[in-house]
Amino acid sequence: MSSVNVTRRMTRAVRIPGPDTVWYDRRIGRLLGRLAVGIIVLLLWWVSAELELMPRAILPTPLSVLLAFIGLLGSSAFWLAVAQTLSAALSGLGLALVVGVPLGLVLGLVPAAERSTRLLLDIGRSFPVIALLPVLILVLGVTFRMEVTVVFLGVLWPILLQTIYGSRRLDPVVRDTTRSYRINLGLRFSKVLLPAAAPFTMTGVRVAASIAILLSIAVEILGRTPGMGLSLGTAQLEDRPDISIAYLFAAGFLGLGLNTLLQLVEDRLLVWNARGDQAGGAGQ
Amino acid sequence: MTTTETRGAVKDTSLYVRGLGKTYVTNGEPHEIFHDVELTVSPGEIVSIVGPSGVGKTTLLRCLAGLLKPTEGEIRIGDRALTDPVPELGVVFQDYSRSLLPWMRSRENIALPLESKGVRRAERNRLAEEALVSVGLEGSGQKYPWQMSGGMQQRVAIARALAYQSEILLMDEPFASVDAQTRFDLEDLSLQLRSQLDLSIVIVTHDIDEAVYLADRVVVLSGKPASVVDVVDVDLGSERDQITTRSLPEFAEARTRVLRQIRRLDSHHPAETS
Amino acid sequence: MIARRALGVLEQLWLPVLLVVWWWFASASSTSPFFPPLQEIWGSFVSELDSGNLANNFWSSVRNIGVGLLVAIILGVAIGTLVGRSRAARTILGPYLQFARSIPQVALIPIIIGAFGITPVPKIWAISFACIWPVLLNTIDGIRAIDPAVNDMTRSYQITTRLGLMKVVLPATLPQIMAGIRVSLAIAVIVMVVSEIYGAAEGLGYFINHAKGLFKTEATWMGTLVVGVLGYALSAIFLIIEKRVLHWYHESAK
Repeated sequence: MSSVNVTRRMTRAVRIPGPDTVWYDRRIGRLLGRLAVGIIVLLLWWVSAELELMPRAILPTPLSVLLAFIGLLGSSAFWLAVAQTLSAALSGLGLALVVGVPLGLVLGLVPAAERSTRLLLDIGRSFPVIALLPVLILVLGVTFRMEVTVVFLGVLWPILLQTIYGSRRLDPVVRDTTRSYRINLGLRFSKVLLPAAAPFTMTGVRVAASIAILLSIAVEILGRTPGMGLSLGTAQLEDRPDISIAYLFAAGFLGLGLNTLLQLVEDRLLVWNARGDQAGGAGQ
Repeated sequence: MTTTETRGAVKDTSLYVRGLGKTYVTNGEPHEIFHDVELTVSPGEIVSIVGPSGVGKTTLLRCLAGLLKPTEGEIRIGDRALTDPVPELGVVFQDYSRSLLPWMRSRENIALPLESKGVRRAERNRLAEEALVSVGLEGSGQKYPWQMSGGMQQRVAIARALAYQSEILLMDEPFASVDAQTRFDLEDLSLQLRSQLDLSIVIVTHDIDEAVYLADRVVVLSGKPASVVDVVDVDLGSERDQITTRSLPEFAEARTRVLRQIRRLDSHHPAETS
Repeated sequence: MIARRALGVLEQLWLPVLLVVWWWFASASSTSPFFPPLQEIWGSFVSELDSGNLANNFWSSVRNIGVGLLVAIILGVAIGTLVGRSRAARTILGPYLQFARSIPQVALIPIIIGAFGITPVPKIWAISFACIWPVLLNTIDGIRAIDPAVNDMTRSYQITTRLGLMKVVLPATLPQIMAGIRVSLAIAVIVMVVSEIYGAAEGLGYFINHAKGLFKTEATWMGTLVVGVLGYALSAIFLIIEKRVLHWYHESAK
């Protein structure tokens, strides 16, 4: 799956004498085009805000949002909220990795186990975790632990499913070879299975990361645990839509940044894995 | 709608190409693909365009089809200039599996251009069935392309061009992706269609044998940038078959001449005395 | 043959069934206020169903999801087609679309509900806005990925724009569109739940939160399970629809 991305990236760099190059093929053309679009969007926003096409509570002026955003960047309360959201998201993610990866490797390896759990995994995957919030608040109260639990329950599935997928794709020849040489189980796991499944797990982690942030913020909005979500909701209630939209953008940047970072790691992992393939290592 | 019997009599369309050239400008640098191409295709003629891989044959065909605008020269069809695709031209692409739509049955694939032309359903289906019969696929109209073999799919693609009532078939390496036996069958089908329906055919191929077997004239494209290095008249008569025609001395002669001309400008082979 | 299929089904069912049975008996004697016996949860289901309370809220939620998704699909496909066909639009708008998609849609809910109130319509807007992105981006991807050979064919045979869109472009993009809708479906359920918990007077989310507020734990659990079943049922139904609509795609890939 991720290999498709890589081949696309690689072919993009090659320039064959083909169709004539157009203005937006050049870097400067693209930059100017995007700038123009950005300016048009800002203008439309500003005009609609001034004309109050939508209630002020939802559409503050772009300038006020920009100022609010700058204000946030300088405020310690903002960074604290970011840290709180991130720590909940990453804790949940980490737990999901600790549970999901070994479980996924095993399930991928033992077809009978995978079949037995398939229905459960399907249900788990399609279950809207946020619906568990009221129940979890009942059981665990409005705590950090509750927030981490929600994130964990939400991101376990992509990681688990992707790892199973990657583990299943392990070349049966390699599997039989390691078995016939009686390579001990621990080594088999760490040296053969894990690297083969790693790229797939990474895709799962990347998907999980954005879900983790989403869930953290959702829990903070609904359950009022400290974090970006709570600050956003509070700002809305205090009639400061400029601040809440600034938080919105901040959350968007956070998600984008994390996603980009993880994409880089995933690509790098894929390259190493592919190089391993070329050296005649484990198949995919 | 013209019926098949009167097709040749009602229209008499020829294709004229003069001084055709195509140059791409990539990042400010011009890349000339070919220049000074001259060609005439009269009704009922088969012309092969042959040359080494990558020389620009497909680019040339795309210009002839109206899919690509040349940078110099002109193409005339009948008495009009050709700048965009026209109904008189039917194109058969190299990769049939990619130009036949998998969500439509073969009959619907064939009828699609007709639907676009505004032909009513009953008439569309009739023409599509006729076309299927012409290519030897009677009764396969309900099958999906992916249920058919490569050869059958290419026949469907040809049928589509036929149903479109085109008078000139433009084929881009149409038989390159099928096995040798199927290729012979399809080549013979092309000859058959030409004599039955009085079609003209322009066929681009890298297979010299095929080029000579099918053509009345072989246009040799070679060099970098490419140009027409020779036009070989093939005098093998209109009644051809795979076994006897290919063993005729005229066949070998034409074949040798074409190959020499290609190699002359091909950097991989030193110049030979002709 | 039939025995093998029965065995296959059995293999997939034994664990879930076992877990449910275990839950039933393990919780039967529970006195904890947070983990009511499964029996009582079932009892709550029956009584709420009888009173019509559950059904009203259920259909209210389903309606929100349905309308929201429909709007998102229509707009997403329409805009996606327009943008996808133009290489200029795709290249230039690319990063903007990526950014828009990475904004946590849930975070919009307080803003939307805060501004427009707790009636169903703002929720439907919230659902539409969140669901449009997967469909939009997938449609753009799908159109971009259409084989150039297909474009050559439609141009050579002078297929009209309208016919080309309906019979060539959209069917070609359909696999990608369906994948996008599948993601949007999950997002719709999430946004529905969150919006109904945050501020609502009806709906499953409201039902669950309301029950929690009244400390009716069985009803809270029951509502949560119903949401789970709804999510599962919707994706199962979608899978059936997808299989039918894309039968040519699956068959030709074999």
